Amino acid sequence: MDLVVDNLQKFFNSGGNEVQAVRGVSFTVAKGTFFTLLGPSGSGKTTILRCIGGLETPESGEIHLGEKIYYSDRRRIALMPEERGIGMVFQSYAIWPHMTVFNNVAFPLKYGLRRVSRSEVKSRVQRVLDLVQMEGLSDRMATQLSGGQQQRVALARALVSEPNLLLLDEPLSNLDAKLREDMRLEIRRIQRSLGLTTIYVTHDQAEALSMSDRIALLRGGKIAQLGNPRELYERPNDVFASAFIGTSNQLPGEIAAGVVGRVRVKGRDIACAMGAGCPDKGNVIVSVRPEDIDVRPANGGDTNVWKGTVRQVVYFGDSVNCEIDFAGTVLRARLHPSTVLASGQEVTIDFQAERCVAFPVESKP
Amino acid sequence: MKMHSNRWMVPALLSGVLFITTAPATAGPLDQYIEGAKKEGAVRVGITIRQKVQGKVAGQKYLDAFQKQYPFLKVNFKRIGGARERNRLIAEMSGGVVNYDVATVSETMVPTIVDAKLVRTVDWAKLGVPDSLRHPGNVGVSLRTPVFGIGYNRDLVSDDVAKTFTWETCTDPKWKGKTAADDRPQHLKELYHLWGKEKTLDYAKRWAANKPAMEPSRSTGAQKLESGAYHLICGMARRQAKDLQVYGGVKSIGIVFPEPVPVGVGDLIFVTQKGKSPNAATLFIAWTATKKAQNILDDADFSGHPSFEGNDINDVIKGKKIAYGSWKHSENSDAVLAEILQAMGFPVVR
Amino acid sequence: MEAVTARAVFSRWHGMRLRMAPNFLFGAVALILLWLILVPLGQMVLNSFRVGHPAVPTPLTLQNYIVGFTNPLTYQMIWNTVYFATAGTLLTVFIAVLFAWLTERTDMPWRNLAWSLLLVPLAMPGFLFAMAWIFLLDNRIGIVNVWLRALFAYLGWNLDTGPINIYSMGGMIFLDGLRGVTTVFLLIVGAFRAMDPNLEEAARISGARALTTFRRVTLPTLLPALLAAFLYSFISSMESFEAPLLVGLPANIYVYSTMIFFSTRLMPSYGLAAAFAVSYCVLAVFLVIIYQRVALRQTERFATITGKGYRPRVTRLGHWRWPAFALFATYFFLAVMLPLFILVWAALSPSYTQPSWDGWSKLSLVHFRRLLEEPGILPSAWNTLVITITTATACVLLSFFVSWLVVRTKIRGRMILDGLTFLAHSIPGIVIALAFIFVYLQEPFRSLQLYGTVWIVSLALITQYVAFTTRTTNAAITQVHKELEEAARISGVGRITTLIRVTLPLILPAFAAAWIWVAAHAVRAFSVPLMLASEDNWTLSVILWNIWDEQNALTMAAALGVIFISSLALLTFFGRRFIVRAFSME
Repeated sequence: MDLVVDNLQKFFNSGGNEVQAVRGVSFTVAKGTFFTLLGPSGSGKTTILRCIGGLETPESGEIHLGEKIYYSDRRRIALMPEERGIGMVFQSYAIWPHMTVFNNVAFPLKYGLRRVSRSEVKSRVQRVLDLVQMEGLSDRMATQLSGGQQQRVALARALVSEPNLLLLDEPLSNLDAKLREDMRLEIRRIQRSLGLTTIYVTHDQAEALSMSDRIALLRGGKIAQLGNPRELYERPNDVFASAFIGTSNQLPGEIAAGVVGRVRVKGRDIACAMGAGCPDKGNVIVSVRPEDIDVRPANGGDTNVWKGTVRQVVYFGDSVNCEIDFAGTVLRARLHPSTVLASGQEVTIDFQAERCVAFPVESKP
Repeated sequence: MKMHSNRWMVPALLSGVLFITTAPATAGPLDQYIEGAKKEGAVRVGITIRQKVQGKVAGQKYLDAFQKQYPFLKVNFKRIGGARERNRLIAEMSGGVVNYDVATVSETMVPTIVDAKLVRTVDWAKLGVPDSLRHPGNVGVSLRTPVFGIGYNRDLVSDDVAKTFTWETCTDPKWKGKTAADDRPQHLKELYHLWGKEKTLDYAKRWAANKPAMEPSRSTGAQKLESGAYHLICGMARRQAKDLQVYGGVKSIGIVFPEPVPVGVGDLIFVTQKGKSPNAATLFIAWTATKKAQNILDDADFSGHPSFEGNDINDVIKGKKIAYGSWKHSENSDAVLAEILQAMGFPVVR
Repeated sequence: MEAVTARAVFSRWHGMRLRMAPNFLFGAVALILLWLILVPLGQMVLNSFRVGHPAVPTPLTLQNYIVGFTNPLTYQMIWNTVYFATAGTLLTVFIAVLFAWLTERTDMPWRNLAWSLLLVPLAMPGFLFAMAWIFLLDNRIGIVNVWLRALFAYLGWNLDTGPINIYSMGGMIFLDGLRGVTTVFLLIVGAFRAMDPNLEEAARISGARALTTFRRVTLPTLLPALLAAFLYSFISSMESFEAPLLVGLPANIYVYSTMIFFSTRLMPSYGLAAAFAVSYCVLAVFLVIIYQRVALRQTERFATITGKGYRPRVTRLGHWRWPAFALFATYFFLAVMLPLFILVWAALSPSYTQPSWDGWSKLSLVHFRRLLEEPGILPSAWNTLVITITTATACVLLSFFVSWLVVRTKIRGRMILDGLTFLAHSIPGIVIALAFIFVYLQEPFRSLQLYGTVWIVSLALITQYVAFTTRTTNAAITQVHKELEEAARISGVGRITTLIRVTLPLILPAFAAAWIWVAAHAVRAFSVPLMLASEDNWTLSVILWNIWDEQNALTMAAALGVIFISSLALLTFFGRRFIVRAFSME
């Protein structure tokens, strides 16, 4: 029961201009896995999700869950949203204000396609409310709930009809940071325990990295990179991916002539992974993550080292972030919290072995 | 004869003619209609009489009298009120929905019903309808003759002063801002044909300069006169005043009739082309032109023709010069009215 | 292999995917609207090209347009009327917005009562309202003037007439402005209620006082609703007839509607009347285009009922609380209490005299008794009830579907539906009625046998009122965030069930308010039932007119008017309770 999306295309008509929101996107979500569509706004991630849900109709392509075809333009099939047996949590939660918590959650069972008897409605609603830890609140009016509570109710409603697929459209973006972190774990826990195939949309890369089995990074309506969190983080395909996921420092460099895997940056040769499309020689962009940068107070006598000046130091409790002027750019480094540095201090910089990635110099789209 | 002025001749003659012709029908022109009516058995009458006013019996007397005269005819009466209902009537009849045998329209609509072929002509003269009431094309007969005068509030204007009123009173600056008029000054329409265009329009302008408040409906005007908002109403309909005096028990309204007294032609009642009981209808209409009917009409509805003896109005305007309306002029009477209104400064687009 | 459900048939057409159910709905609704509106519209346009009586059709001619529109008088009148309508509408909208804000967003004392009371003016028939004010402010016999003169005389200042003369442009604007408040209030109050409180809170936190917040945040957010209300009210004012007739005429003040009245009731001038009526429609089309460009295109921006944090917050007025209520009380006094007082006085006086201690002793119920004996009163009461319920229900349902199609679907041509309803408002009631008469007396509609029944009255009234109800349901549906409906669809519920189980309950308050508005208007509807009155379909207003005009019985008419007003006031008062309860119900 894998979800297969094949060559999805979707146009929008905005004020007379045609905008292509989704340009031929394909991916597969294995049964029971947590799949995230990650990208900046306008990348088409929400559109894809809504196409899967049936709330938008694509121009062409195919979407099917196992043998059940949701949409196929070749076979001229497009199921209505209510026929797809999907659960969805909306960004605004969409909790109906004129109903109680119980009735909100019971709605799919009472009026949906797979209706059940009254007693069963009651037991299933109770069960799912327990699951999201909202038991005891079933008689509250929806308008009396806090944001976090509404979100749980939305989740409960999505789950109550035991769908084959769960869709979540940036459900955490309106919550405060602590709640967000808690809810991330909650959602993941519930998803695992139910073994539910889930597609999650977010622009928050930390969320994506912490929750997903696989991530599709979207840019301009296309998939820029597809892989598991570690792949995406450690081996981004291009500058965009490296900058979007995690933080990336970018330095100009040159492929060291005659040696494979070494790049010359500001007078030193370092070992770097080669990103896709990297040329054999010439200029490249070197990307390195803040946590892979070593910073030490400068000793006057060091030679063949990179030297920089501390610009700003910020203490985070679990780390120290500092900004360093180096090689004409500002490097961001993430250091052990015990590090003590002062603004204006001279420091030496080094990269951890093989933790940088070189990319071709691409022109801005 | 020398004692009487010439003005008496016509009414006297008419009365004589009427007396003869309204004698109980022995032989005569009505017989064939009576025969036909007996077979029809009922007549549906749609005219503008009010059966009851403010709880008191009014036009019902009129209908009862007809019923008594022809007991074998059942009278189904439905009142057809103002212009709205008359228009509806025309629309219905031309659409083939004919609910009445006797119907009514106002004078300006006569050409329409003739063109639309909704009328059954009858030789009314032969049936004894006097010329004063008969439409020359035999289209139908007049009913409810309007007579116009100057109404006044008796608390503000004494009866003695009112007796001296003439039509020029309305243009007298002494009454500026204290008078009102109906927004369709019908009385000027009748005076137009007596005075001629120039004199009438001149009068209209002078009258307008006296700023009479134009009232959009007779009843609001009368109501306000009664309350003292106005001292006079120029061109008040006699029927209006009598209505309030008799049925409303109002004592504060009086009415006088300066010369020349405008008398209109009233409504036209006619036999409908496709009605089921044309004979009965004919009988009804012929009957309305009899003295007896006119007397009851005048008594109950204050709209009898002044030429009939026994009508209260007949007494009131005896000896005065009268400006009679005629059917001949009636067809373009609204054009005349529009001219007058334009002269008075009304926004009339034609 | 799971079977592919057969319901999901789709076809490509002009690049758009069509879905069956909403399209059927669209077709059905469009047909109904076209029938209701194009019939009178078409007849009217046809008449405008003919002269003479419609019963005697003449060949087509442009004469009416030439006569009507080459006359400089016409344009003078239009200008007069624009001035009058603008002033009246501004007054109305100002008062309505103020009270909508006060009752929905502030802590004005007794604001729930005020809300209910704002519906009461609906109960008063137009010409009774004007007549009542004439008896109050006639410069000679108006009772308020009499008292004022007595007061001034006491202060040593003797006046012959006045001091307030209602027969003036100011008087006309006053009457027209007061009359329209309830309708405009209903058009915008839903928007005030549903507005996201965060928007205003952000302003207050930034330091803006109540009035500034109102001006700079509240008003702009409500722009679509306000604009719709303004345009609606403007058209109503342009067509306003009773006040200009009763109050303007005695002062030689004429507006477009009275000019048309004068010009066209002399001689059978249906053609000319129709040509003028067409001009109202042209104006309406023009305004519709403006409205659709500005208001409806921005529906997404103004969707403010989401599922989130829906808790209306209240602005504290501080020491302005009681002055605000005083303001409301003044309005209510002028719009209802004072005219009602005069009408009740007249209804209880055997014959009308100015209110005085003397007259007090003579009060009696004689007119009410006589009313019961008035022929046809009971059947017409029944007719009125039937017509009212039918018209209100059908009107609100129809506009609900129209609004849903216009706001929620993307079917091509749906904007025409909306425009049609707005256009219907611009056709004067008399024209609608006349057109219906002619159309339903001839084939092919003749066979429907509607002529002379209560149903034809109902149809004509629906045509008149569907514009208002559509404005209301438009605004109401716009306020509902589309995700609330999408959540239902995803939960497995079809579009129509979603409509009924989710959308409808959320807009039920607006629905109920619209129903009450139509019901009140249908009860006191005047020109349409009068025109269409045949034998068996008389309504109470026809009887009222009869008593008023034919029998000259002001006092008896006042009695019937008082009955009207009381029953309508009860309806609106208790209807509001229903609205409130329905709102917090499931």
